[in-house]
Amino acid sequence: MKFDLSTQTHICAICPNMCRFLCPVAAVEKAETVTPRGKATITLAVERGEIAWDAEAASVLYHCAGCKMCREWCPSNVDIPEFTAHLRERAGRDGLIPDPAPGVRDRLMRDRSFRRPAAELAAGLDRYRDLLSPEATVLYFAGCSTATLFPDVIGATLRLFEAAGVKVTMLRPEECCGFPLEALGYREEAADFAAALAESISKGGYETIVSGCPMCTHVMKERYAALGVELRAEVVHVTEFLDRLAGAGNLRGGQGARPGDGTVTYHDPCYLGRHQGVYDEPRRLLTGLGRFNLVEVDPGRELAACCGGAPSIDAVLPRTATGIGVRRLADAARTGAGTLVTACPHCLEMLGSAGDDGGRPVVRDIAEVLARRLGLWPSGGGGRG
Amino acid sequence: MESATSGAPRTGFDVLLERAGRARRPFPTRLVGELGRITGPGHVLTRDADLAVYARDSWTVPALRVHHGRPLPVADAVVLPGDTAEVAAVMTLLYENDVPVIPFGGGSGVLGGTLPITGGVIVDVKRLDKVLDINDEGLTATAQAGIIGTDFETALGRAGFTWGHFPQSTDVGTLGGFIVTRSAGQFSTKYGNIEDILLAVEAVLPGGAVIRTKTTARSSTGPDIKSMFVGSEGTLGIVTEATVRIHPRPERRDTRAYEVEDFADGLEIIRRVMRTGLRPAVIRLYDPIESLHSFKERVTQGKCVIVFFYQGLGRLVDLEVEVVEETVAAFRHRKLGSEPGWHWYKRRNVVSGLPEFMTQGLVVDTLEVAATWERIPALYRAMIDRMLAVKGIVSASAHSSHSYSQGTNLYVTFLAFAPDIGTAEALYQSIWDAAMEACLEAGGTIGHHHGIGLHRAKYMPGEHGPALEVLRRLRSALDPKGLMNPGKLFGKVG
Repeated sequence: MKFDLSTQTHICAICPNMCRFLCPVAAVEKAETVTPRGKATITLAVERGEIAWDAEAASVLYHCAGCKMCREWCPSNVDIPEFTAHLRERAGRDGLIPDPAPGVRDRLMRDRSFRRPAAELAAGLDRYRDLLSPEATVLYFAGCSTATLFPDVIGATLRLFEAAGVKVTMLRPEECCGFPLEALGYREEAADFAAALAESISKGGYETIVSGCPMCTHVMKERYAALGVELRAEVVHVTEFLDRLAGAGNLRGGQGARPGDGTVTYHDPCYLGRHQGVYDEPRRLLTGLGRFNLVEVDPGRELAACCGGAPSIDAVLPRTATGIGVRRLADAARTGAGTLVTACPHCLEMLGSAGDDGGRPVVRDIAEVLARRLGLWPSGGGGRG
Repeated sequence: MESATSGAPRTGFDVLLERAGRARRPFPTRLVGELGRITGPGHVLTRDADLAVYARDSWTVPALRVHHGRPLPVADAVVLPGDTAEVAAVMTLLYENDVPVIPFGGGSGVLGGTLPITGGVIVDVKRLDKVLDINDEGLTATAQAGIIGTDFETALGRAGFTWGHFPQSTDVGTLGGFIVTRSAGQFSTKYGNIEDILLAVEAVLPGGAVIRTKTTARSSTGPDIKSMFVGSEGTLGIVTEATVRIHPRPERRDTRAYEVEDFADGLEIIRRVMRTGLRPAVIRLYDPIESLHSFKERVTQGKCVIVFFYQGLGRLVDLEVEVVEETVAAFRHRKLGSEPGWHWYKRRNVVSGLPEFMTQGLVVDTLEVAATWERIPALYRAMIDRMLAVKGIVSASAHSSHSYSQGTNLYVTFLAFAPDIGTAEALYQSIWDAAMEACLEAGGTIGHHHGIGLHRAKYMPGEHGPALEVLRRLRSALDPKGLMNPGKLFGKVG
């Protein structure tokens, strides 16, 4: 169905705001302005010229984590993140994107990577050279957040591929996928990154792109086309890929499983769950391949609360983002599980650093816990927290 | 965006706003800085975008005006205090400077109770969102007034309790809002309404004094002070904290539904069940139109559906089911099983029809009245007939959803075709007038649980007669400057 910004904002603006309790930004900031109906009301007023489309009005559209929780709840199928994205793009065209986003863009354009210069990251990946096969048709796209913050996750993931007999390669250097730029409203810049990646993919003749970062897979799967870029390869998240391998019997648990109580809980990343519909794969991997005892966070799956880690909110409103993270960590801590597993470097970073240390579960990436469980990856190191 | 007119004809609401606008006082802009010094500058909002969003609650008329692009009055500022002391400091400052104060919770009211019609400062209490105490032994819970209903229930549920108060706005509204609008929850037949659930309040009075009433099982110490804030709609102060009754989580839930011949039979069944002293958590009787609308192919056209929803101690649930079955057996009926009840439960808070109807050029609204059993059948007929007599109305229907030994409520829904704002507001007012007049003539009360707000204030003299003077004097005593939530509850501005 074609997205109709006008109809969507109109319906949302006259609705009784029944989804407001699920909005993570509203839950932290409290003001009506940032509730879904608040954002729709402002959008409608701007469309009609009732309030000026200026930096103040535009800034309200950045009080959205893009988590899609409101969309999940809405009986009228209003998609706030979608219309927020439209308006952020307009803010980009009109030079109204609020601070500190322009600084994020400048750094990204300079470094070609979100966290650290892409060239530096490339040097750091040399240690995994032995695990790569240059002729492979499967491209493992680590993502700059994983490469910067959780390089051991890359090693663990590559060990899993190796154990399954899958040959993979990586780009060198690996540049940003464009997600932070696209999410902040920098369409042209995002398209530039998307085109560069598409060209690398085309040159390499890769058939499948596997990434452990849901933002990377989301922007490639769902946004590149709108940016005018065609990616001639299948894009899958690591959990989808490993689940296929395990399902086909190419990746087996058992012999190498390490002792321990084996109880973990799992946080559904918004961009993997609600955006891409990937809920069952990580759970099958944890309980099947990993033989973990999985206790669910309440709420989980489709209604799993956002952690605030996505650059769409964390890059512009870090205090709000941390407040969201603290709330989500409390959800996870209530399970009593000592380990919180997730499948996104941004969630890993936020949940690993939000809140007090007392009673907080250890936060780990799913590939890392699986590789450790199967005896494929050494103890120590790995994710933060 | 404050005064109306963009070439379109003036509506009744335009006239009301113009009258209120004349009472608007100049706002000393230095107060923005002073408010910021109390709460932190990030918690004072003055952008056009913020003020536009806070210009309304969930009342149909402001929604219609947003739909048709008509203006609404805006506040001069919005402030979000972080605790009771900050609320008190804000109230002191505003009262000293003669600035109107509009308390704000979740904005889920449906009668314009938070509309800043004379300008002033909206005091949003949602930062007061903590659960302060859950007392297992005494079965009480204390929370700050800005907590969202669902968040409060979730916290109680994790500790093994429920407070049993679930207005349809539970996902939107706040504890304080539920108190000051004198709300009822969908499970009120078992757990009571907010006045039965509330044990104590903390409130900030106009001028900034903080009062707290005592938490006790019962007290014989003069008129009940906490009750004065129940239904006060922000005219007597700002509720900042409350202690309420809680209950152990229900051991079991069950539901049964029946098709009965007509609305009168259904009412008689409920009356007989309530006389036994048993209290099923929910009893809902739908008239033929609403039965068909809500349950579609499950029901025979022209018949009525009655749903019982039970929860609590397993043995008590068994007994309630048994007694209801015996009661229903005395009437012509068809058993519909448990599916309709669960269907209602799953969809009980879905209100997507409201915006969808509006975008189709229809006005839809609900109103709720109550009366004693002997008056209810005639009240139902009189209201529906009188409303249907208004030219332009498409339908009027009702259900009963909150019952007592002495009577029940009627929740009336109407639809009218009104493609433009002038027609919509005029038709809306005519239908409401017809309904309220019919209700008063039939001996009903004009409001069961939505409160009064801005819209229903004009019917208050008819409701209370000379007794309204008690409320006026109480308000004058606590708010001599008339700054608290102008235009609400009493109608008079200023």
